[in-house]
Amino acid sequence: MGAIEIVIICIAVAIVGGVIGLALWRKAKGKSSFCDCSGNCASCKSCPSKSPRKTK
Amino acid sequence: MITVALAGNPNCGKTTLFNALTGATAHVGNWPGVTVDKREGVCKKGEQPINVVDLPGIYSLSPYTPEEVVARNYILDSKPDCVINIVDSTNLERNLYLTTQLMEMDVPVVVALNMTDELEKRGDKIDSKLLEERLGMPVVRISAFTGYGIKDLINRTISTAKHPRKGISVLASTSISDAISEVAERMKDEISSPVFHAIKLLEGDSVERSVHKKSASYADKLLLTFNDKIFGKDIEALVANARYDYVTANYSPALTRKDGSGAKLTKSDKIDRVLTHKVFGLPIFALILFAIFHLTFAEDFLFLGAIIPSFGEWCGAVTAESPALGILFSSGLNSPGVMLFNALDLLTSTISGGVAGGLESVGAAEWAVGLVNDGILGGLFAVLSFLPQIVLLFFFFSMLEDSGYMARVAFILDRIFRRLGLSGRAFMPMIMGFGCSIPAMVNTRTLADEKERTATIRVIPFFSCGAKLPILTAIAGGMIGAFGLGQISDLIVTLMYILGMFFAFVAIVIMRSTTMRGDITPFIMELPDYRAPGAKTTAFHLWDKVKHFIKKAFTIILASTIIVWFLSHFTWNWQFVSDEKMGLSILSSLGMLVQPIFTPLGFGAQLGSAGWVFAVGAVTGLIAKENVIATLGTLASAVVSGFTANEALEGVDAVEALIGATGITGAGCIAFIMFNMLTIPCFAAVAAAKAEIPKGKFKWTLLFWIASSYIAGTAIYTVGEFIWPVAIWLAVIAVATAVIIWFNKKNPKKVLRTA
Repeated sequence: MGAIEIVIICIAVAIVGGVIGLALWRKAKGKSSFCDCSGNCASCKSCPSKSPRKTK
Repeated sequence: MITVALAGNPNCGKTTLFNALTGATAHVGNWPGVTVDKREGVCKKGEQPINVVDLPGIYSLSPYTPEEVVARNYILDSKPDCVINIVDSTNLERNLYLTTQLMEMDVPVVVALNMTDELEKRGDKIDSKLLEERLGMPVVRISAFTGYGIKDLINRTISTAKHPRKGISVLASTSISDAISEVAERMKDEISSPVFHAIKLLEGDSVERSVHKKSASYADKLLLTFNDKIFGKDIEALVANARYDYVTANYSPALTRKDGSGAKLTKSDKIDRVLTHKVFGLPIFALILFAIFHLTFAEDFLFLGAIIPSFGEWCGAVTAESPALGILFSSGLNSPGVMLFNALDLLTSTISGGVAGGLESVGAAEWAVGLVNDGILGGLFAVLSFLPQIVLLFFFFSMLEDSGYMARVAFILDRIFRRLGLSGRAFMPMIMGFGCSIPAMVNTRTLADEKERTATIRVIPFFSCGAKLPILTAIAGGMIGAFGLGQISDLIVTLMYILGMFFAFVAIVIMRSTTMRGDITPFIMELPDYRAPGAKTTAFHLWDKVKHFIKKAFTIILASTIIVWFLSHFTWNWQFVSDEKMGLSILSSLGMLVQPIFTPLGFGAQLGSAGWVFAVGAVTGLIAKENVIATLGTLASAVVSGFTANEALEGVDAVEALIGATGITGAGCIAFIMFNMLTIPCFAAVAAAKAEIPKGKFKWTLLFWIASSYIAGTAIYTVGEFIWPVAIWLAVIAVATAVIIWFNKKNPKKVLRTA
């Protein structure tokens, strides 16, 4: 297996691991939103919450 | 940091002002009820930062609707430093009704006269100085849309918030005034805003009476001997009438109307005479919908190729000669949506070809090229190629929403909805469902009846969201290519949307006749004036959609396609298998395991050895609907011999190749679309439904989605394939109808309230 193959595998594992890891981390942390929008924040740039409160 | 709440009637521009103050991009629309819950942001445009809270639109502070409860509780319990009361200048008197209630609270209030530009366009004028004198509160002229007066509003809000204010009543000259004073006097030491609470107690407000029991019985005693000459003991009517009388007598003089403008029909009224016509209203709506789909999906724009055969032949010839001209023409002139689709497809093909060539030139192994080209880029581009059409479709929907037309459609459909057991109000969440099921489910909070709300949430996924669009377009395009149906992809997509709506309405009728029986709440919706959609608002709507789609494409879908490629190229013994031996892979064995389940739907055991790909696509769609076509895109180049990676870049080609390889029939394809449209939506939508539906009903909702999609898919496949099962289905419908009628006769509804 050459360097190219190793890089490709690493990227693929990082993508899959990152997405699954992020989903698990969010699940463990609970849904967070400042305005009770259940996380469907419409890109509210000015959300004053540094650490959004848990709504669930 | 001071906190300011934005309060006002529905559709008076609160969220537009919120966005203007905070720089946020919260969803705004030209229809009442866009905001169903409060949201917060910080305004940094003044001399000091302000915490701004956008409250849902309300007509009064009586707890008639959930929005009124949210707004009222926030002002009373959270005690903001100031309330900005946004008043729609074009409906001054009605908007000031709420102002008279806010005046009764112990909170500083600034009145923001919004849409003054529209008012002046009509030739009317408001004397804001006179209004300020009469109200005894600061009045600022603004246009939240253009940004006019925002700076002044911020400065005056900051200065007003520094001076506490005691509530006053406009009911001083009414027969109830003595009782108000007595109750308020009794409550003033216990609670803030005693005047407001006293009036509410005397009105018989259920929330107030349950909280202030002692004061409530005191108010009852006072009312024992009370009897108004006109209203008798109906205090609520007396108070409402007195408020309007006060507004007319004291504040209306500030409004100068252009001579005769009150009697004249406005431009909106004139347009409404056509668009909301009793007979033509619905056909016009259907025509507008078809025009939108035609502009987005048609490969023979305006049917020019069919009408002028020589032009159609010429288009076909130039397309074969030059791929670049293929962007503009196919069997006729392409619609703008198809042109954008083709342009992006050309770009992604070039990228993929370049990547594959690059990897091969550096000597990468065959499996590595396959993983990147088929696994990652194939799946990803299969979905991304639909982005232009999704953006265009939502551009048109955004135009309809912002113009105020969608509110009219709710009005037109109320008559039909009422027969189905819903109020016209349910239409807006359903229409939002075409964009995304999640905000649509949240928006059902505007529905007062819990059962009506649950039933509406359950059918929202039937209104095909943006994520399902690639399924519709790719399968429709694939069917045309595989079965030689001619250029009718726009027609197929339109029919699929209509079929989804049809199943939604059938499901609503069944639910509202059986398990979800309940009251139909009266539908009252203020029809907003028609407005030209703003470029900024439209851009925000589209950006929100694009961002959401791209984010999903580069996270969930990308990860899923890698997993799908991995599972389709490795055996249970962790041995790599080439495309030719994919039948030995993990995914193949799992696919074959679930494949028989879909036999009644036409994409199960009757398909060839590669038929399991459709079963796998349907299952991966449960994570995110875009996954369905991404999966088919990834698997096509592996399953279909001779199908190269570059061809798999767009979902249409992948589906066409799979149709040929598996032998799935047209009816099976339609059943596949319908199953994916009606079945359990994506993870995020399921979570939203769980949050919005009453606890015990959630598991039934999951079952409802599975059963609906399975039954609808089976019906479509069996009828489409064999015809004769029509008799069986008709018999089933007859029996079901008889059972429902019998059930309803045995269990009559206790209360039926219709408007």
